[in-house]
Amino acid sequence: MGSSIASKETYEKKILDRFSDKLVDSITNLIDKVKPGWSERNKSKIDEWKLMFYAFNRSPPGIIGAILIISFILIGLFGPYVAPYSYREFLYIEYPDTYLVPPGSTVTITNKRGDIVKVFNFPLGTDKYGRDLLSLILYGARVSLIVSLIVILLGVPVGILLGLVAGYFGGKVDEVIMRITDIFLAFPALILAIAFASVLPERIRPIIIQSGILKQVFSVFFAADVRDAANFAPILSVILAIILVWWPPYTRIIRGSVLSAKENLYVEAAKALGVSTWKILFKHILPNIISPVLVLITLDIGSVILMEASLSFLGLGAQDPMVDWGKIVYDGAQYFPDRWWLVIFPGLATFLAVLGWNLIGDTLRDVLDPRTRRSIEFKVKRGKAEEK
Amino acid sequence: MAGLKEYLIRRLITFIPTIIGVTIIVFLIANVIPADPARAWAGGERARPEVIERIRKMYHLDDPWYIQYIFVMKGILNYFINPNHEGALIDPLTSRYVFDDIFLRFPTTLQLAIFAEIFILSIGIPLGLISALKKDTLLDTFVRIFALIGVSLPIFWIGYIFIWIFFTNLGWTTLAGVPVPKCYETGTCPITTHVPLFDAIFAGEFDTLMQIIKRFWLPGFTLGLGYAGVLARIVRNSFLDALNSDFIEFAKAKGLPKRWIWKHALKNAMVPIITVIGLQFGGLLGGAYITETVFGLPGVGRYAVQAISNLDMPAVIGTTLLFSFLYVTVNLIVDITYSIIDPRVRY
Amino acid sequence: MIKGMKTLGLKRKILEVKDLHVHFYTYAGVVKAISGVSFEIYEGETFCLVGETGCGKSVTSRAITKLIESPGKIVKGQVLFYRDGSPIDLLKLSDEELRRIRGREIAYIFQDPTAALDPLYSVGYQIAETMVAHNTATWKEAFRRAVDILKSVLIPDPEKRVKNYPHELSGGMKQRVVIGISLSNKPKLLIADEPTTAVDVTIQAQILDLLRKLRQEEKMTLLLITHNMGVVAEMCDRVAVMYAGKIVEIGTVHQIFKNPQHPYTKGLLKAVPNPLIKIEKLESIPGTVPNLIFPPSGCRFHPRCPRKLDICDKKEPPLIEVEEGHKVACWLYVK
Repeated sequence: MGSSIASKETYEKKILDRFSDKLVDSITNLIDKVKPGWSERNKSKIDEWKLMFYAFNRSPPGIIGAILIISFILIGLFGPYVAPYSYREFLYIEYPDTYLVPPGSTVTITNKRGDIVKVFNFPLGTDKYGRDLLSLILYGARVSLIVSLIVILLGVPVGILLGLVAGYFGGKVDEVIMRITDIFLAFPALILAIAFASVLPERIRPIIIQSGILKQVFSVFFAADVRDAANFAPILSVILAIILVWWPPYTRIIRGSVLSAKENLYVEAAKALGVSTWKILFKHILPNIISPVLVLITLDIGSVILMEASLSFLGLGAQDPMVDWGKIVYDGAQYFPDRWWLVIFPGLATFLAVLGWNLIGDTLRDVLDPRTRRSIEFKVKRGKAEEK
Repeated sequence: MAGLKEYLIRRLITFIPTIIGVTIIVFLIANVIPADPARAWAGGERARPEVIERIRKMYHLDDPWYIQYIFVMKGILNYFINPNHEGALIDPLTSRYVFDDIFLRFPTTLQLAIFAEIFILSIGIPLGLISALKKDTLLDTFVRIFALIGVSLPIFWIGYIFIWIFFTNLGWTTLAGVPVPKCYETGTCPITTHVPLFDAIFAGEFDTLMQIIKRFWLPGFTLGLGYAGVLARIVRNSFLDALNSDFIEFAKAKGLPKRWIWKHALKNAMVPIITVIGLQFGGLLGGAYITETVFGLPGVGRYAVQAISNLDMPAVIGTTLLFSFLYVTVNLIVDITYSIIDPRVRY
Repeated sequence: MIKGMKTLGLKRKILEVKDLHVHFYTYAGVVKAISGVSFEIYEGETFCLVGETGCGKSVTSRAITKLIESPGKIVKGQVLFYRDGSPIDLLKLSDEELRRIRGREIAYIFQDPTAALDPLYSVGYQIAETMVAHNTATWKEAFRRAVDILKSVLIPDPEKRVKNYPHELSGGMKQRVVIGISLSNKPKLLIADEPTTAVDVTIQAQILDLLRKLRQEEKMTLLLITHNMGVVAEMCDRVAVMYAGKIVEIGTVHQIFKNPQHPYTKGLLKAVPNPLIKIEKLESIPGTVPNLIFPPSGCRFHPRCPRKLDICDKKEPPLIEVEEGHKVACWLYVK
């Protein structure tokens, strides 16, 4: 620890470093308010966090990734509200001229006398219903964001919990959990997800239609009209399907780490002191094995977005008139390459969102691994020394 | 060798519960469907009641799920045990043996996977080795970015872009039909594997081979691109891990020439690399349907997706069984390869 | 013990290290692992480098044939290897020239035999390749000789063992194999880096006996690196005591044990049972090894020294001769 503090002093802090310092400080202040004296006791940990940020700030892929995912999250949150048109504005019905217009078009509607009645701008073009593609992509971002969040928030804890239990208790419990995990792993994940996603909507649809609250909640979640409540079911099925195929790798990884972590002396000591099993699991074992899982989660958010879009592309996710990125490509593919924008733009959005998470995950892996973090930090300094 | 035989038997025994588990899950999924599959199979709303009734009887749809399950599994077994496929499972929609349907499409998927694997290995391994040897240089960063982009590319997007470039503009590929060797019709094939690629090579039909390459290289490249990036990273990291180990330092202290040292490092890096290649090949076979959809290839993946949307449960179970069988087989091959490379691994 | 002293003047030099500096460029700063180390080794003797963990003795031994990997770098110094009486500077040789010397004329034994052997190759192969790499045997001959080598390092049933893989051998046997590999080309200088640290206590004596026996049989020079004063007393003719990347005292084993000069050497000897002097109780040296990124000013031992003078934290003490062949770097002896 002494050496890491020494290295901090030699840093020339840049804007990002000062910003990340502030971020860490305000988080620690927040924790301090809840648990007074916390930051005093965890001084070295806080220094370590700051160092991790310095390393992160010096990794261009990490920065690009951060920019991409911050944009993704902001667009996902606010996109539907700033979209110029609603996804339900089928302009084609009233104005046939808006049918599949290319990006950058302006469609001017005139009445019989030649007066201009309306002017539509379509920066990214329109689809076959005359809907504005930019707006559709903004709405699609929301679906991607919600799906990936729910999958990670529900699927990963299940996987972690099962892994902890299997690894720690061993014996029959372990045997049963791991057999089931193996069975799920023996499936190609996408086939299983397709199977779940195609049979679940029939079960989920009546539940949503009958419940006013669920209708409301999900219409806010997906930024969709309540009239489309019946169409929430396929998206929810996709979420459930992805969760069902998502937990097994986590269970396997966590189990492996628990098996080696539980041999550690501090676990033995905690056991001997009569600390309760759950406390040992969550306070002593989990924090020590979680960092590889954090990396996996970030990388996985990208994969979830990709899988959701892929399922939609196969016609399983959002149904007309609702949209997500995969669905726009699915609909637009038949016009490709003449009406290229319907494939290129939503695909590009998917690609950038997934790339963002992968860049972050890859950088985090380097930052969380002490060995590589050192080499990043070292490179910075050597670079500086050479400049002088 | 006696050890190997015992090992294979032991592995087969542990394979059985997995297969049973997989098929039971598919059955549970099937039971979630509220719709009446018999009606759908008989032709939907206008189906005649007596046809529906016959289908119901035939597939034991009125019996409890485990009777249905045993019926289906028996049907699958019969296909492989009985020489004339007596009592084998019949697809209610096509009225053909389910596995006849599957095996008709499997060569396409296999060929796609083979082409993808060729690209994965020929891109992933050299890039990985180069970036390990040029660690922390611009080249290394380039490989890292390539890998990250590769895994982030949605196939349903890059596939269309590639089609536009290589088909629409350059005309380097074909997109219709699946080429088969001429000897299928004339019946002059020296060896028949039912995989057009192999049969064309064995029959020496160069033009058919070229047609197959022209049809399959682009889907293979599209499918393989992401995997190649991942493999490059794994090769890089395992090679570096091996290069940093003590026995490499000792080998240098022994005065071994550079090539010999690399040989030691490479062999030690092989174990994780082979695992990844094996897992990837399993993933290729089971993850090809988006590629098949984009490139219009009539493979098993597309068949499975169609079967699911048609509620064609016998076909779904047949394909899942095939995929999990392939997955387990690939794992087995990986494990056997381990034991050849690594004397510490015993079967 | 006496023998070492007597032969001192008669022997020819085989290796001379002059003002060696090795730096490690780490994330936390430049670690000055070795700063100005100089010593000579004479033909046929056993020379010991002794010191606490992290004092730079291993780095010194590896720097001799440039076995320093990035982020480490030899920044200054000479390593003269006397081949038939004429010196060559090893640090100036090309990689290929050095490779021909490593494992042929200068061989190494590493600390952990389990890590030093490639798990995927049989021990016979690993012995044989050492000979083939230096063209001292063909593959066929080399495999045959591997059996003899295993016999010479006292491995029972060598005909069978030669086909074994490292994981099939015990720790002690693996270290014998490593010794066998090192000796396969009959090197002039053998560098043994803590050869007994990673093996069982019961095996340690056997390994040392083996090394001593082989050294006499093969008429080799041995550079032994250890942190264990007991091993020094048992094995060595001359000793260099290292502290924080510098040599603080150098002399024959007799001089060092009977008449230690530097406070650090004295401290080290008080920390182990000294076979030459009777002491009442074992003591430890207070404090810890210093940080080599920002080493202490002046004499590096001054923060822990019980006899610190005013000058000690200001100026580095020179290495001066206090009796024939006995040098010490300490202000107490500067007149």
